[in-house]
Amino acid sequence: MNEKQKLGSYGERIAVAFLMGKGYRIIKLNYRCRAGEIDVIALKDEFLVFCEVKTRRGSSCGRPAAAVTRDKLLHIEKASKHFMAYSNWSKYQPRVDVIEIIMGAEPAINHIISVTE
Amino acid sequence: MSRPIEELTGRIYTVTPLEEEYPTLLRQIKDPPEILYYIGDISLASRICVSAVGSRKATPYGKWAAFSIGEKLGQNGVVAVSGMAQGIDSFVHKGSLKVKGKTIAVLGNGPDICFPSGNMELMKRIADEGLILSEYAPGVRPTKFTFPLRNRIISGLSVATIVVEAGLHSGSLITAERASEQGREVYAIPGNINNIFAIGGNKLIKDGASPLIVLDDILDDIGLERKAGNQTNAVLGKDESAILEFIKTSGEVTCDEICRTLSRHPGEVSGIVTVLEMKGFVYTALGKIFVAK
Amino acid sequence: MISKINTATLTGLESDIVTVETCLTNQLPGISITGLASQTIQESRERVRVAIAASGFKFPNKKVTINLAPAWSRKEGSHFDLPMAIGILAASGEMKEQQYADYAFIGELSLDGSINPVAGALPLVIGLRDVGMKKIILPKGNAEEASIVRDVTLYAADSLKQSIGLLQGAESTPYKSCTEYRYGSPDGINGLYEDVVGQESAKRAITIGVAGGHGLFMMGFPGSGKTMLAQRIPSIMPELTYEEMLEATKVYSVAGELSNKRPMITQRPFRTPHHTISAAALLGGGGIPKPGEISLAHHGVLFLDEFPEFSRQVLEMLRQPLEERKINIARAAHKVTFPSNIMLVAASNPCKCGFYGDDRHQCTCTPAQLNHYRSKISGPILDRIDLQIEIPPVRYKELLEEDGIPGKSSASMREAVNKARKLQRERYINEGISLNSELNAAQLRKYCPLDTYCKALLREGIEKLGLSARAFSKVVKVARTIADIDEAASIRTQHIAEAMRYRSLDKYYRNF
Repeated sequence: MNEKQKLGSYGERIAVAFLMGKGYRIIKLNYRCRAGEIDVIALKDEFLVFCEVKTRRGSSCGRPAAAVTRDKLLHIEKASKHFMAYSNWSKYQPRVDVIEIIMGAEPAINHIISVTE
Repeated sequence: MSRPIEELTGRIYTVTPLEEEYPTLLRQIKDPPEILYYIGDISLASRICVSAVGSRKATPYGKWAAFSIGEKLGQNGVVAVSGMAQGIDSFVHKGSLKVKGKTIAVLGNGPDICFPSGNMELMKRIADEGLILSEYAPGVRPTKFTFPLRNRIISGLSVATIVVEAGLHSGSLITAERASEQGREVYAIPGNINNIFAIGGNKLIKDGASPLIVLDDILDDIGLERKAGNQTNAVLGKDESAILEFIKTSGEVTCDEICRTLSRHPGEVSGIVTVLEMKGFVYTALGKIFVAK
Repeated sequence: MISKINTATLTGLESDIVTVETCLTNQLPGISITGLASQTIQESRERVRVAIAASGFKFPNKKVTINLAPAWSRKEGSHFDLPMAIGILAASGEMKEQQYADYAFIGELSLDGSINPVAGALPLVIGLRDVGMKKIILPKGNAEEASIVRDVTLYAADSLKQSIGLLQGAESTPYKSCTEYRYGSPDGINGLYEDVVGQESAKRAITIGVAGGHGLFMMGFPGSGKTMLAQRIPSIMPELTYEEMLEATKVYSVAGELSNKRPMITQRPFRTPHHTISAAALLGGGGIPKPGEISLAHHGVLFLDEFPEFSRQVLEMLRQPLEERKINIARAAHKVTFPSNIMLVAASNPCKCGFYGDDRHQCTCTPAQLNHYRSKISGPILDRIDLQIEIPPVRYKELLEEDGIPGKSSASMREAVNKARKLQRERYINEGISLNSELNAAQLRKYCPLDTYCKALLREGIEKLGLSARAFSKVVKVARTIADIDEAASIRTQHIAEAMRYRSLDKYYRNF
């Protein structure tokens, strides 16, 4: 595992802890399929949340959320459809969130809810 | 613009003072052209000629006067000479041609070049029915020097020169001067004193030119008997006569002035003026009506 | 659940009903709009979302699908914001169907939830009323304009929140205009003919022109009063009827030229486009077709001052709309039609500097300039103008004013116009036309028989005055109008003689 991947999975763990703290039930991590991949799938109230986690060392390279391009979003959407098709989650309202983590002494976490409008 | 007209090039002939055909009166001036290029009937230049010239920018009245002079000369067998310039000159030629009279155009360029270019049709007609004359060889373009020089030829050919309408700096005044030097009669048509286009002519009269008030007079002066004009002496109704009288006494009027003075309805006056125009008694332009005589 | 909200779309001046269907589904949140919605409507998505939130409502966390039915026709306009917002809130349960089903909605939303006025409100409301909608919620800024429509109840809304409140049962009074709008009789706002000193012949020609619907061309020196004469033409035109007023107001509504201060057209329009105007501005057009000057002059006067300075291309394009009294603007996928029933008045100087033929000023034009200017004066547009008059400057003006003899007044000129118009209406009642200028060749023969004297006079005129053969039918039509003003049953020689006076420019192309 290289530096980037290490950082990614460290960020993912922070994100998971954060979500659970907010009362989200974690359903799946690193869901992969042909259409794309999703970092975290979680459940809260009536929402089935597909979450992309972006981690950076500092904000000098721009905000991590900006790295979620249209293409990436498209892949996430396709993957989410795929997931919902092959499972029993269709009665939930789907949603795509982005969790932004800026590493530092105190990691800064920014949870952006519903990015697909 | 000034390109030689091909179809005319083949019809150009020359004549010099040594030849019999050279215009008679022209021989007598102090500086006759050594060679003349011409298209058409050269004998016309030795008949009785009267020239009529004026400015390039003419009022409707001036144009009418030029046309009428051309007609009158033509009707009486006198050759009308002019320079085929825009404005007065062109109308003199047109008037003459209309009554099948003879006319000579003396050009300030080669005889195969049409200047101004808008006079192409006119030039061809003159070439066919009259005479085109020039001191300049075929292909020579006009310059500002050529016109004053050719003016001496216009006056030199003619027993008399009429200045129809000229502003202060009109080239036609030069023609008048030449005529005077050559011992020919000079006439000028008087104009209204507030008419800037008539200043040149009026000044000439002051300096001794004969005022031309009734066009027939010129025929008397050169010793010709007048021939009756072509006007239909139609019978005029009472209303028509009344209005015509008013127009005659006032010179230039507008429809409105007639309505006001004679207390008549504008529709009625309009109709009568139209009829008078058709019968040839009046002439209208730009809202103004004047007598045609 | 699906909510259905009533609104309408505009094509030219016609409006068609549109149903805004909204459905919320369990998919990734977003708004999609179907039904051939234009770019403006696609932009509504952002406005609607923000406006709903700003009004204190919760925007649903679902996928919002909006369909503008019927799906095969193009939808255009910013007034779809309000119906779409209502549709979304209705679909998410804010209201029950019986609360909104009887209403129709139009309005553009601001980001703070307030409702902005839209262009074309009048024809939209008329269209909705015509398909049976009895209650309409619309922007306050358009209420005055729409208040002239009969048989419909209007509710003027300030904001989205207020509209929802109304639907949920809050007290609200229908909009009633406080102003009594008088339309029809000319108010002389552009001046009356009493103000014009002299020029009685010109006034006579203008009376004839308006009486028979003939176009008018005036030639005169600068300062001779052409513009003054033209401006006063609306003061002698017949009264605007209700239908004409409505049509004219619709055009101004679609052009976005109405406001609460001036919500309807009460006078016959008088438009003077500058000669540098583009074809699109004169005839109508633009990406989203808007009416041009020629349509804004509908039922009024289009005055083209300095006629030869207009671009030849632009003038060429005037031909068809003058002929057909309407203008078709074609786009790739559809066609829009605006009306253009106008009286055409054109004016010109004798030459570019204005002083050719004036014995008091020097004309500074070169012969080439003179020819060029002259050539612009002939042509297919002037061919359609039946009356030509030359306006001399009024000399001895001071004398006239001292005299105290009043010039012909607008009231008396209008009386003559109305008399003549009545005769024409009665005569052509079965022909589908209403004016002498509209006669075609067959109708001309039928309604304007000429006796031998008239025919002889005409022949002589064509010969002696240099009239063109095409002028023949124009002279007869004008003579017919003169006869009507005279209340004569048939055309007599004096009518023909006067009519020929109004072809004074024909000879300029032939000889001079």
